[in-house]
Amino acid sequence: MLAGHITLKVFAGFVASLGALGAIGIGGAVLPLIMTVAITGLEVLVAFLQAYVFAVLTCMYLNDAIHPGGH
Amino acid sequence: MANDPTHQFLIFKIIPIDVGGIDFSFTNASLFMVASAVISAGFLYFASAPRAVVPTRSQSVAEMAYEFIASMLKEGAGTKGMKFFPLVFSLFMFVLTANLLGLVPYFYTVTSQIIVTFALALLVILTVIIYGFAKHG
Repeated sequence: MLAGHITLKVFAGFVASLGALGAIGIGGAVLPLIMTVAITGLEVLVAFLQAYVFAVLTCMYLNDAIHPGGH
Repeated sequence: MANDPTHQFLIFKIIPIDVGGIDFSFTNASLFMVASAVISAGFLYFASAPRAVVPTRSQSVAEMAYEFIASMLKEGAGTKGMKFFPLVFSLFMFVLTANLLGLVPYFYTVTSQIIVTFALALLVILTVIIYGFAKHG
């Protein structure tokens, strides 16, 4: 979440900086804007995935605690 | 400041609390942790309150989350593992809500702090160690 938010902010900063440069800048700002939208989608995925992985690992460790001996 | 990518992770005190020289202040991080807990618990409570046989949209989402974690826990740790269902489900809902809340602009992302995920991991690993010792010596 830390890395994703920083990346998002950096690309959003590119959009703002390029947009301030005039017509060519606004044309160029489309690229980081697409990136920003894509990374936002990725962040939603990661948000779910982190909760999922946390729960899966908890299950695995609980399994070790309940059934020791590796079966 | 507007272009500083780490500015969003600044912690500031909302209610400064000091107990014997130790800083217990209520910060923006604490606020969003409380918000995640309240929102996830409130959502599940109000979604399941009608107890409809044909579920409404929110009840169906709540049931989906419940079934998802319940089947995962049964698969991973067996039926005996179901006594830990409240722990696993709370953890899942808390992390998920905190992450999704953090995606809202100007909201604080508590899971970006290593201490938050570390504390949650410590809770799990201590539960496993203590339960394992108590159960199997």
